[in-house]
Amino acid sequence: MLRTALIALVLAAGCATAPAQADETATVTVQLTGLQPQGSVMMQVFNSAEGYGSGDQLTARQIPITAASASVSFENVPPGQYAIRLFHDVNGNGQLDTNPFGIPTEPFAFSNNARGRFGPASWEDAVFTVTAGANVHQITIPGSN
Amino acid sequence: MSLSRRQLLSGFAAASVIAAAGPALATETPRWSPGLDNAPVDGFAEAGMRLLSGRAPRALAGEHYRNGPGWFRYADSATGHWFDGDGFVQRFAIEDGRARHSGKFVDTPKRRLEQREQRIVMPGFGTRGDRNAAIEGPDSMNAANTSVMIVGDELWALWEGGSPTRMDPRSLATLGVRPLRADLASMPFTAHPKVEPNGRIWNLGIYGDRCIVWRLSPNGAVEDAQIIQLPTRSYVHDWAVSERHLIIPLQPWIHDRMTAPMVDGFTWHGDQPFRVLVLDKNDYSNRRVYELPAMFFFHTGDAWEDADGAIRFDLCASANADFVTHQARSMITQETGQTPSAELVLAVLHADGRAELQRSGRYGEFPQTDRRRQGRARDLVSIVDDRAVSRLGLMNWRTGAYAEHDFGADQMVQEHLFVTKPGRTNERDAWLVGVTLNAREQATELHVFDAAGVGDGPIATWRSPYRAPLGFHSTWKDA
Repeated sequence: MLRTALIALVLAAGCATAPAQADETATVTVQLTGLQPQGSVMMQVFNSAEGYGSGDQLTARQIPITAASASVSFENVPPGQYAIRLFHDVNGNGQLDTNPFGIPTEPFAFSNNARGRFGPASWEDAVFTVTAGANVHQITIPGSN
Repeated sequence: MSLSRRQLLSGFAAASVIAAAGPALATETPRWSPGLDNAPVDGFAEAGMRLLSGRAPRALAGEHYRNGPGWFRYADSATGHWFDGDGFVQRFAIEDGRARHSGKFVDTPKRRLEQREQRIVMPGFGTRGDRNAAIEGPDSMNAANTSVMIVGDELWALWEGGSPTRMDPRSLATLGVRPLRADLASMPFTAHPKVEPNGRIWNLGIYGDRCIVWRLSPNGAVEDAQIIQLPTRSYVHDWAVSERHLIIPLQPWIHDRMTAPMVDGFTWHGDQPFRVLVLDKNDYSNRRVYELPAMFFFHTGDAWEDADGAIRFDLCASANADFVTHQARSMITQETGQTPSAELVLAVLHADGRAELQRSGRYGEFPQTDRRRQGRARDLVSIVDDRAVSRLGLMNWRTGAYAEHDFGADQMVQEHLFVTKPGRTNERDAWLVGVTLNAREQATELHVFDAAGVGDGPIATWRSPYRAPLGFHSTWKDA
């Protein structure tokens, strides 16, 4: 009896919560513009200031680039605060190239089109809010230095 | 060239005297203030200049290009330093005894952004800028305002912290920044490249205690680029190249903390020596460091080597960095000030490791030499007297003679270049071509001197019906 009751409770809970979960997840489509049609964009997604600062990413994507614009979608994303940083691996060597003094020679960008000052953009400038349902975030890739 | 023992004062004693006796540049009234007004936003369309006096030699034909800061303030904001104004390039074309003038701003990303927002946004050498300014790299801040050079079919506007900006030498249209080599994008390229008589271009780019040594073909292709370690951090605005050596003066004005604006991160270390790093052109690992007493400099003339292996190069040396830390800032706010003048000296680096200074007793800046003799023995160097900036001087190191012309108290003299007389080889077979700002007439004037008769005054002078900003450095292109 107890076992049956527990199963019923779990099922009921499942019935009750499953639709709610579906409503509370989000889809995030990141649209990229201003690209040179070659190589790949290497994108990192963060969901905390700590992870953003330490490089501890939530997820990452490699997006082949064949046109001046591209988009990538993330499904079943819990609503919350996120930040993106990316670089355009124009020559396809898998890394952000820098000059001998450490200054990037391939384009890089952040969510909100945030810009850094002598370094990466801050979490505060790059963070954006994802709400349940469809979200679109646009990032323009600045030209190479 | 031989020098007497008396001329060759010991380095320490010489610099001590510079520190003690360098006369002060007193600016009772800011005569230079018209030169720090914004130039017209669209520049100056090409127009003829009026011949005021004299007659230009028929054989003198070519273009005198000049660059310098030309935009300093918006309604509610201003640059914090003379060195941070937007680059404004002027072209003075001389042909058939006539002169024409035009000028245009270098269309940099910095200028486009600030014109759009009608405010100073980018930080600079002495400008704090907006703390939220988007800085992708050095070229985000590149003012392209310091010098200019002809490379192949292009005119390059130079700034010391980033890339050259390419321009059309006829229209002065900006063609943009194109990296000299993809992997070397955004590397610094000083505003004082050295061009050998065969056209090969040498330059440096300084980053902390490291330095890139550029070697380019006459058309601007990178032949070689190497990173070298410097013995110390320093502010290196100019340097020198002889036939066999690269000569990098390392003054004790040291960037030792990151702060905005950049100039506030430098400290004058008057207790430290003025080092000179000398590299073998063919093997940078073959190097030597010389030491002279503390002194400050912006500009060198040029270098050469004697048969005994001694390297000599002109320096305009002052007692400290007060001009760059104080007066070049107060010029923007149109305040007066006093800073030490620079004395023209000849640094002598002996083969046995000793270093000495030969003093001239002449004070000035913007030294210029005969570029046909780049890296080779010569006698002459021209300077602009920086105590009374109305005077142009020509020093002869071999004879000690000094010729001078005083334009009068209303004039501010700017750099004058040697222009070779066609078919002639003697060093004095040259003209000196340069610009003054006439504060009384509110006009820019172009002058031609015969190098053999500087004291006689200009042999031709033209005047524009307007004034253009003061500039820094120039170049000449034969027609």
